[in-house]
Amino acid sequence: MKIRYLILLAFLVVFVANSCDKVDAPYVEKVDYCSGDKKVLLEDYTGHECVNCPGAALLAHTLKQNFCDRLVIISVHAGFFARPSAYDPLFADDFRTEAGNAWDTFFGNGAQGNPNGLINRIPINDNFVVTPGNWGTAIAPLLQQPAKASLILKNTFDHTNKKLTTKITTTFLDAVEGDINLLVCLTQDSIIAPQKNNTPEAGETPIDENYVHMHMLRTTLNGIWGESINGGNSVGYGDKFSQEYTLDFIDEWVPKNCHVVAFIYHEDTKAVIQVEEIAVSE
Amino acid sequence: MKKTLLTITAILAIGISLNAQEFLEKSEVHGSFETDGMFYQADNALGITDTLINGKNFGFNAFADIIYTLGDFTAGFRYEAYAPPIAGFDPRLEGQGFPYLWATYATENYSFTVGNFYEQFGNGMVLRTYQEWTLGYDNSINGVRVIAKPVKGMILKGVYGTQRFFWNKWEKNARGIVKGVDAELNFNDLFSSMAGSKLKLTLGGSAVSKYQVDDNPFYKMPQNVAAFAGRFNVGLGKFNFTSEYAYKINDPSAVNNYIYKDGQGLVFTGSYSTAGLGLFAMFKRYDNMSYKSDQSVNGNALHINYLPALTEDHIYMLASMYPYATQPNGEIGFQIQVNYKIPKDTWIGGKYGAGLSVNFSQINDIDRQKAHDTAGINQSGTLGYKSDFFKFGKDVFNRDLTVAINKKFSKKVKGIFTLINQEYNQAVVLGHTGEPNVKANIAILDMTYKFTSNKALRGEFQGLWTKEDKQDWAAILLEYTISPHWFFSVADQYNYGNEIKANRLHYYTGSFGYTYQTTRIAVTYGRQREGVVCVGGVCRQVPASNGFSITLSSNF
Repeated sequence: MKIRYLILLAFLVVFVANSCDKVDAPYVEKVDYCSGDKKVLLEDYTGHECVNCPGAALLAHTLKQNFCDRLVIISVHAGFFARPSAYDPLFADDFRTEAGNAWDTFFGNGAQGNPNGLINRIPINDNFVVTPGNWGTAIAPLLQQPAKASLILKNTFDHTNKKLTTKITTTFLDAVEGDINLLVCLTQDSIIAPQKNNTPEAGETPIDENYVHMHMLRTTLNGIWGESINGGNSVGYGDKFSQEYTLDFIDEWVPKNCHVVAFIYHEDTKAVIQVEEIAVSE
Repeated sequence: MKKTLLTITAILAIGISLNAQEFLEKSEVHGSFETDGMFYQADNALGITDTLINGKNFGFNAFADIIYTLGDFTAGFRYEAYAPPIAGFDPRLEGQGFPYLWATYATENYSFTVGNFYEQFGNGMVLRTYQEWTLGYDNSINGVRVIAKPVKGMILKGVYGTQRFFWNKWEKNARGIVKGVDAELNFNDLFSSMAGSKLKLTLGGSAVSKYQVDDNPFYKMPQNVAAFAGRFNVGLGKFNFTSEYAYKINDPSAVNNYIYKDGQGLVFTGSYSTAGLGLFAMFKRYDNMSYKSDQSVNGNALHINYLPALTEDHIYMLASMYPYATQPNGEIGFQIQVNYKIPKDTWIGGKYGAGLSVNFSQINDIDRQKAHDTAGINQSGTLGYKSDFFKFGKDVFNRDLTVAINKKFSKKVKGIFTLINQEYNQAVVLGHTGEPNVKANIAILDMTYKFTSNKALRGEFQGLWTKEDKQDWAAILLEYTISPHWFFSVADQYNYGNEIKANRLHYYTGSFGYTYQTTRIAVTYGRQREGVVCVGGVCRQVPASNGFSITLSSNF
């Protein structure tokens, strides 16, 4: 009696034990991400007093390389860890922006603890906010989708008057329903400022006084949520829309380190359709 | 022909009538329900404005469990409604319906369940499904469970199914499928030669596997992830020892940052008990032991296993301000508890004697070293790290020393005096990255005065002192009870030491409740302090709020 049941149990254990897959390195799938026109927007919500954020920024940089530069990054300083410190002069700078604060409130990034991000402003598992560990797995399938639109950005920078003029031409490659907004942002690389850090690979720990901030959101060129390009009318293959914006640069914005990031998105769901990035001046 | 039909109909009618009567007599229906409602109001001092409430000024959580029994057959269901969920519960709970339906046929030796069920193997380190209403947590399995007790002293279990994920129906290639087996042998029941032995011995073993299709385009994911555990329980006289070791193969997930290291868990407890004295000690180490049926899901959902907590669960207002949440990615710690009954007619014991309890626990990060020279610790897509098994990491996650004396002074007066020293890693536990560990001292005086056999007044006077977080607090609670029906209480928690004067707030509440047989209603008005609620090391955040709450519960 006992033996019979023990044999049955042994059989079941073997059955379960066989359900066991050991994966050997390398652990990253070899997929060619260099072919395809679709690009994906990663908004990295961060703050200069967030010790885990440099690690996330490093991950974003690695992903950009892995995805053959088809990942566009905006580093949004917002929330608790981005506040300028009243007590510590090292962290007195305020890198927050009106748009970044509004997005942070709307999507709830700061409330869920930095670092985290938005991937094309699409909810993953019913949540817009995606932790860094999930960035790669969330981005990869989006890059394998066909592009529904192309964005061509052309920048002209007047160095005398420090004035940027950017022209964005959107060409649809597929039918898209609903109101479609265009949002244009200015980001800046190579801003050297103190950053709390606990990732040695990303810089000095626990504070890197010469941390190099990349992709930092500086402002938007057409409001917090952009503006509609189609007035809510359906668009189809080949439909084109052009918009032009200007921006007066302030001293902190170094033109050679700045980029214009433009993306179109569904106004109702906020889901990004296509994104593009180009340097302000070569 | 008509006569024959009438006769058959009459016989059938009598038979059905008799069966129906017998059926009704043998049937039993039991159940319980609870409704929790919360009405929110703006409170500028807490930062709660009408704009923030945005019309959602009511939260409502409710459930009803109904169980029907007929002989060896039992079936039941649970209705739940979160419309919308009370603040602090996962917003994905919003909705209503019947998430828990089940039927069981059980005899003395076998039990067969279909539908939803809760199950635990050993301590739960490789499988535990359960429901915790206060957390809004439910990871029940929907599938089949078989329990066999072929001989006395042997229990075999097998489970197969998919787990609940809020209101999302399982679909092909969605979250994973869980299967597992468990065996437990009680040697004192199994072998007649050990029936009277002083040595009490139980051995157990489990094997669990989850299957989730690899649709991850970025990482190579194991589709089948297995976990194994072995355990024992040895009792010898006044001593008792239990232990369980669990091992899990590579299980990259959002929780562990997609590292491919294997996982390990060890729990060991020892206890000694004699008249007036109880000793308890526990050691545990968890290393990469998050085990979920969907590798992309974070938070309190789809856990296949449960990692036993080690710290003392405090119940007093200020003592529970910094509750510890088990860290599945890695922690190592120990706990020691001493309970001593101070004899009567001694200096401390007095006329009635006194109870003394001392509890100390400490939990650190595990040791972590680079797995490769080229990869950082815990870097995604690598083995993550190496770790010496018994070495404590340098980061303290939680340290708690609690000393409590329970003393009766007279027939009318009794009290509990508690002193607590805590260190709490809010960066790791609460995600407040960059914030220093909280080092707090807490003192609590809990006095009860009995006016008559059914009327009593209880008062709590508490203080919490710390230089970190929101600095110093004081709290008071007065509770008047008229047994067995009524209670009335008022309480206030005052953050008098906050460095920011504007945040020196009072968190006042007033409550009353009425209990009649198995039905209870309680109403509370006041401010809820922002904090964390934990049950057994599993926690949820609670936002600050102001308003009315009402709870109605009953069972039959």
